[in-house]
Amino acid sequence: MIKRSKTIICSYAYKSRNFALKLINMAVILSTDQDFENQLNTNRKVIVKYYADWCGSCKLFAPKYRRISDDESYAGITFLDVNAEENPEARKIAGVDNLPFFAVFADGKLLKASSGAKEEFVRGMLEELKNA
Amino acid sequence: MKIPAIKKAVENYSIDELKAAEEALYAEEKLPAEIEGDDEGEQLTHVLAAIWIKNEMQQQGIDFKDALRRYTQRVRNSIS
Repeated sequence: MIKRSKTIICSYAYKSRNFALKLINMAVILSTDQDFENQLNTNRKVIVKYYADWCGSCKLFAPKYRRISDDESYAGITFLDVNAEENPEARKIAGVDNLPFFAVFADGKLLKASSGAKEEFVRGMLEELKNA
Repeated sequence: MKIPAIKKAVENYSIDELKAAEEALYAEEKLPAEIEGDDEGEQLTHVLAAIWIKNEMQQQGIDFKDALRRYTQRVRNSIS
């Protein structure tokens, strides 16, 4: 009986750990000037969505971006969110000139950057990043 | 983003009405107010701008022109 309980607990713990890891891998991370470069240098492939609280298109795109980050085909990609109004250094690195603005980085280097608010446009950037 | 559309929203609607419009846009429902914009994203930008400007006018005791100037400065700071 004790052995069976241990097996059940271990199995539950294993599943919970895997679930937690999945969440960690696929969540959108809020980044600031303080940790932005570190995020680019410690994650091989990164996509960044620059937004601002005054930007309506940015707000409407937020749930789509979270949904895209849950897509398992992008499991190796880190999804970042950066408030462009509050983080000038992170903004300058990608040359943000409109919002919402997306930038993809591979091995810490800027691969592509452009403004847009269509899901297909973001998925196109992600495909390029996957093949980089 | 179009300044005349923001001005119209500020002049024609209360903060509560604008907040109802904001919620309707999130919920993809019919807008309870007439807000100009090429798409829902731009309409929401105009609604958010009008709310911010009205709050700024009330809290800082300034007129529309000054509040609008502060708003556009905020926008410029985000993309330059």
